Amino acid sequence: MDKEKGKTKRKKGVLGNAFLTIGPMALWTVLFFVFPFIYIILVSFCSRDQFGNIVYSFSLDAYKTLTKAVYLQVIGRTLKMAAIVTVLVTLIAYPYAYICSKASKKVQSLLIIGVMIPFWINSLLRIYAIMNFTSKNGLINNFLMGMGIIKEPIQILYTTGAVYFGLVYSLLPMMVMPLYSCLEKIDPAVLEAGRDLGCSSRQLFLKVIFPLSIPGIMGGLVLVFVPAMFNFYIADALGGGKTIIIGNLISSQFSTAKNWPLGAALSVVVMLISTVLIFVKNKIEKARTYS
Amino acid sequence: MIRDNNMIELIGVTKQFGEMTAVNHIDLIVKEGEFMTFLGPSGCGKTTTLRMIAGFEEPSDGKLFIDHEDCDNVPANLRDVNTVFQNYALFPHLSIRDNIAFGLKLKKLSKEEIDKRVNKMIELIKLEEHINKKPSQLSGGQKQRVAIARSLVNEPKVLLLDEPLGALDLKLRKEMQIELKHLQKELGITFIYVTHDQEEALTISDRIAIMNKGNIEQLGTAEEIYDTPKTKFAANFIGETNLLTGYIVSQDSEKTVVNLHNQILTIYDADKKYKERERICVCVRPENMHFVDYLPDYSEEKYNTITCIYEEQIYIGNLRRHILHTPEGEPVKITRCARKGEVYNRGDYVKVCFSKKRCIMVKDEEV
Repeated sequence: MDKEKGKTKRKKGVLGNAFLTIGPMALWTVLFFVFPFIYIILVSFCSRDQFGNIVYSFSLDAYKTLTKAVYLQVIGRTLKMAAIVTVLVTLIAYPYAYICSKASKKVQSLLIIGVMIPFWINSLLRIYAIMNFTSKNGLINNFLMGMGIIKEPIQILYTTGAVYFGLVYSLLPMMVMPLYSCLEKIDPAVLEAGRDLGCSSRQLFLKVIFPLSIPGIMGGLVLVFVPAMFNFYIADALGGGKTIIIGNLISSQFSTAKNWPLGAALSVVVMLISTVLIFVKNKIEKARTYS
Repeated sequence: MIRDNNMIELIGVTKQFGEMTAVNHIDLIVKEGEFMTFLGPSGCGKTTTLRMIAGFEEPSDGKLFIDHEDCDNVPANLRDVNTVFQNYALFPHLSIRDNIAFGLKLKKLSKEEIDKRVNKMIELIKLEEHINKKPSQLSGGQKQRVAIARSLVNEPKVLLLDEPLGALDLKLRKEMQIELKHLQKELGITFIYVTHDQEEALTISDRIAIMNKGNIEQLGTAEEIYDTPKTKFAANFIGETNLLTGYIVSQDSEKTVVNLHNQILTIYDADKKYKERERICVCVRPENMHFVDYLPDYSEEKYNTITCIYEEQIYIGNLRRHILHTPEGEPVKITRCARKGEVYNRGDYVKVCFSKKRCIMVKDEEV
């Protein structure tokens, strides 16, 4: 039965099959990624009337607004925050991924599942859980007061620190996974060769393991930096809306402020920054392989 | 103190992985400047022994000396030996030049000294035009040269080679074998070479250690091992051989009388002492087995004669291989110069013979 089915399908020819297999996916991409993308770029070159409706005529108003100091500050602050988050994530993820790659197969899968399972839970839910822990009468404050370490509950939630924590926590798997897969792929014989040629453990790390893990770090950098730049709900939920970064600025332009062209222009700027970042990363990778 | 020229000494070295004994109480001495090969089937413990010398594995028991120094607790990076790995294990992130200079840089030699030695090595392996490439841009043979250069540039006391030519095609492998042998003679460095290819072992080695199930079955030069295998395993593993089972009738100081399925043979081999009625195998190399019909100087005093049943011949260019079997079903192979063109038919009863001096006996045992 199955065999015959396969035969009739094949008779439809290569093109028919190609459309069947890639078609739905392509349609999905065009509908939900390409169209919105083009629309956002279009809107960024429009203006709005006093009621917040989009006026479809060419204008550079939105981009002109962006050059105001207040917006440049937000962009600068966001880049700084994304950079710090990326550095923190890398510093935490590296030892973790390294231990993973060295551990026995069983421990390895446990450690990886440990990173992946939280990742499967909606990130907004996890942020709410963090809010629960860190609020004035949350678990951490109760514990510290119970232990007698502090007398008054301390402000953890709605601080910049909380935003940093939330971002680092959410983006950790994005660095651990590429790093782990990169470290795990290192040929054990290469490490033995390093030993054989006289490396101490420290030298082996600095001269062999670390250089070989750079592609993993580069992959992770993009996966962490770009979402750190875009994220809005963590800054809103854990920062209490006090920390204005591009993410929540964009979201507020589309919702409360009703200034779609400005929101769209901001999006385009962030998109350009990420594109440049990925471009630079690819350039560096190419240079490393074919030098 | 008089120093002998023992470069590597293994005394009762044993390696156990859990319940499994990979290397079983090996004693071995490798002389300075010697080309020693560990030969054996996979799982015989040859690579494990090599890795213990390199320092990647700790012996479970026994002593290991490199140039008279006890290697107990000396890690791999402090041992004056270098390894050439089977899959080359070049550093993918470094250029060929940096790969070769790796060990010297760790030793903190001056830049001039490093450049001098690296350049000399690159000249030796004839890869001048590739020095700035990455390993991924080289062919297998070139990578192997780099791996050898990377080790040799450190001028180690011993170079360990773990099936270094295993991944190369036959022609290149043969070229590299000769090259390696010349290189070793030129530099005078002790080489320990691991392979499962018996032809390769015969080609390149000064001495061969045949290993099986964690033991050294036989240690000797290529000629010794080929002409006088000491065990059935050694006889079988090296080259092709005919093994005819029988038992000892009697033995005196110069000859042994053997009963081979009721054919009485005399063998001028009395080196090994056997008990009466002990089961043995008579080993005859296919090139020492002849057809009586085509042997002009045949005489019953000089030759042992047995009757076999002809099966077929296989033409392999320079040689013709004749396949026969004894009435008891033991295979008999005869290789002859191809142009001689003996003609027999399948099922013919054929008299074959071998010189009483050109055969040896080994104990019949499970291998």
